[in-house]
Amino acid sequence: MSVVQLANFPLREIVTGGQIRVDRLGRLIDRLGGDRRPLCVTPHRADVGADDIALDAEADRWVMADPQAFELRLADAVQRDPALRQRLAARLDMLAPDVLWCEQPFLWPLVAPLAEDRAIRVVYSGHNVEWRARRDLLARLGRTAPAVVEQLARMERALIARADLVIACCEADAAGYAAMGATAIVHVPNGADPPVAEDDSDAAPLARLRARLDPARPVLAFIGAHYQPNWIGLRDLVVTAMRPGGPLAGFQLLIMGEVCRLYADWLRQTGFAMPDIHALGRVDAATRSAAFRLADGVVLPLTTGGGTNLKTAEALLGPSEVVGTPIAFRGHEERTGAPGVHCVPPDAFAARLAALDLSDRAAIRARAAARRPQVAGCSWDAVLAAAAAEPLITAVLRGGR
Amino acid sequence: MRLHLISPVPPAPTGTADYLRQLVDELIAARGPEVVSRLVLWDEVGPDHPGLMTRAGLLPVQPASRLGAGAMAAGDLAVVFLAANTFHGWIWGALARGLPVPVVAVIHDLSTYPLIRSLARKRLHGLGPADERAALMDEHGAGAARLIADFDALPETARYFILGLGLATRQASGLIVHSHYAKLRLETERIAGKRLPPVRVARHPAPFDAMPPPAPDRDAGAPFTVGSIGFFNPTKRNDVLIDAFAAFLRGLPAAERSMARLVFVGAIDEGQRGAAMAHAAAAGIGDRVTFTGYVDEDALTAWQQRLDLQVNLRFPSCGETSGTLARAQALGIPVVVSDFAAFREEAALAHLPVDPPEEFEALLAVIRARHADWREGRPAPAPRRASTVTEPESFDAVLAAFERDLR
Repeated sequence: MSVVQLANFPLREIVTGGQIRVDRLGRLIDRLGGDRRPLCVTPHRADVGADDIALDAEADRWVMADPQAFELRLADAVQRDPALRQRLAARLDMLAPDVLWCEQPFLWPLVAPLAEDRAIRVVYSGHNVEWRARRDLLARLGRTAPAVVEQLARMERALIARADLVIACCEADAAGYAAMGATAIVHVPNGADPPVAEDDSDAAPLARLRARLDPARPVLAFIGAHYQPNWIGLRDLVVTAMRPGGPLAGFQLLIMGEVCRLYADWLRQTGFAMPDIHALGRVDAATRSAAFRLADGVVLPLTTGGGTNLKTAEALLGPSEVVGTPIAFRGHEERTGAPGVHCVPPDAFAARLAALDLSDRAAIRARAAARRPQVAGCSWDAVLAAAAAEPLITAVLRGGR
Repeated sequence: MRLHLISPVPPAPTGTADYLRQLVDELIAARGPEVVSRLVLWDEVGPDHPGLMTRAGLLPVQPASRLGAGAMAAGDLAVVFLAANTFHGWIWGALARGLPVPVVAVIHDLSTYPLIRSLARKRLHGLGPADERAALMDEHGAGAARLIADFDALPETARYFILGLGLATRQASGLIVHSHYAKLRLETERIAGKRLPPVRVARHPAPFDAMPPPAPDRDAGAPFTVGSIGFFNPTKRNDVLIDAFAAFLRGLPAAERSMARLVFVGAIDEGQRGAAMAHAAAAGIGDRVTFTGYVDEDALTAWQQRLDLQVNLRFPSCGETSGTLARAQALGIPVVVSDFAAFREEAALAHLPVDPPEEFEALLAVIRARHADWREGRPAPAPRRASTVTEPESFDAVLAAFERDLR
């Protein structure tokens, strides 16, 4: 059973939440006996491989010229370029999918003709209700792009109409897909792996980070990809509150991941100096472990976006206090009452964070240990075990529905 | 004092003709059968036209070629019925030339400029460039020239929002519309200081002479039926309806799918029929969709009475009323409308957003809910209005007010 897993990024280097989810669902396919064959259609980037369908620099410039429409333009760019089109067709021909497993609806036009063969089964593995997430993000940015939103909705609807199975990250998304006409929907939440190493493999970065931090003041941590909703929430609920006179002045913040680029842009635009914020950029596993080990609180200040957040599961499995918005806890609602977990609306976020007692690190660690039984279900191991027992998933991967 | 009703009359295949028949019956009901002696009907008909059958008997129709000073007398009142399709071209021409008696104009379509432009450029019904300008001048002033020059380059949706009612507002002494929305647009979308005759809002005349035919007993095996009624037109959101119905069918158990169907009742041009059938086939519901083409009124009523849900969506809108909506309301058929423009003031089972992604989801939800009621034998919830504006008066009362004022 050949399962072509189509995504708009390669999986050679697993960094972002999206990549992690695609990779873990790929393992689910493997586990259920599917012959997984990743297919990446992507903008120009450094980590593409020979098998990936990647735009050249010129096409990439055109695609990226409209930040609100770049995903839609990605499929357009491939369809316009005879060489890329031919490569995609040849690759699909070689992969000979029995199942088309689409991770993004905006890539659907590229494979929809192949799916006219009704013998091929189609899975839409959604990360968000894509059109709603885009519209909400635009609204948050004070922008509109109704044509983009409408086209996204049309593509997502077309994919759902053809899909034998829709996989949703959370119940809210499942309801959104049902409203768009989906009937066979399975809920596979995002999971995480415990963020802190069990051995001392993070000793070196731990020492380096310790040297940069004041042990007398609380340390917060945030990790996120280069994705506007990540940055907007962090900026509005945490970073600006750390300005002199703000409720979080005196707090220290470790930012990890490509979201640091958006933070750097903001620093350039505003000219602010933020000495208590340490932007670590993309980090390796050891540095990430060290940062989580040092953090008194992990912040999840999301104010927009759909799906569920891998960051949330990871934070819940970690040794720190977890402070997030209701959006960040989407899909984890039943865990918001666990020890050391704080679900706070955006307008009270900074004040509530400032009021937390983060001075007793032993107590923080004890609360994290106490919640472990309640959060064990959000590990990838547990999530994938449950998914592997889902009859709708096994049926599609075994030739039925 | 005679009332000259200048309008397409049945069997002209336009909603205005049906409207006129309903209106005459309403006037007879309100004023007594003797009113027919005061009514003069005018249409572009030949000498063999059978006349209009009313509840008080047959009323002759005068050929429009005789319309003019000799046919009207002091104290008479002309009521012209204006819409934006070619069945009304001769009325626009007569209005532009002027009538010898006071005129009340009944506006069925707010957006009439595209028709006036087309007629004027073809020099039909005596209309010409001056009339095209006159259509826009009071609304756009000097900007009218630029609009005339650039009109063809406008997106289609934008064209629906241009009124072009200057011929009516200049020549008429009173205007009748069917929604507060239309009244507000007429009163606000014009150059300050330009004359506007009084505008009054009237209720659509009651279809079926206020006594709808009894609902026939439903065949026990009758399928769940969703339908769109009237001229097939992209503004009626038929593509969204096909997609939503297809999504609804996919959600039914396979055995139940043959117990649901979608019908489009009304005239449809061949190109549109081909495209719509291809769309339905691509959506996997080709065998569950029926296009009847044009049907006569009895067949129309029969089809409406088979409906479990009538879909009356509209965007963009000419601002018009909908005769088929009024018929559905009179027949007690659950109807879903757009939450937009004049439709917002109409009583309906649901008012749907016109934002396309939201519209699809809302329509799918309404079809599913209605189907759930149908399956359980439950009646549809009572219709409600989305707007809080007051319900309009009857046409008779509004016309009487104008007769009083203009006498």
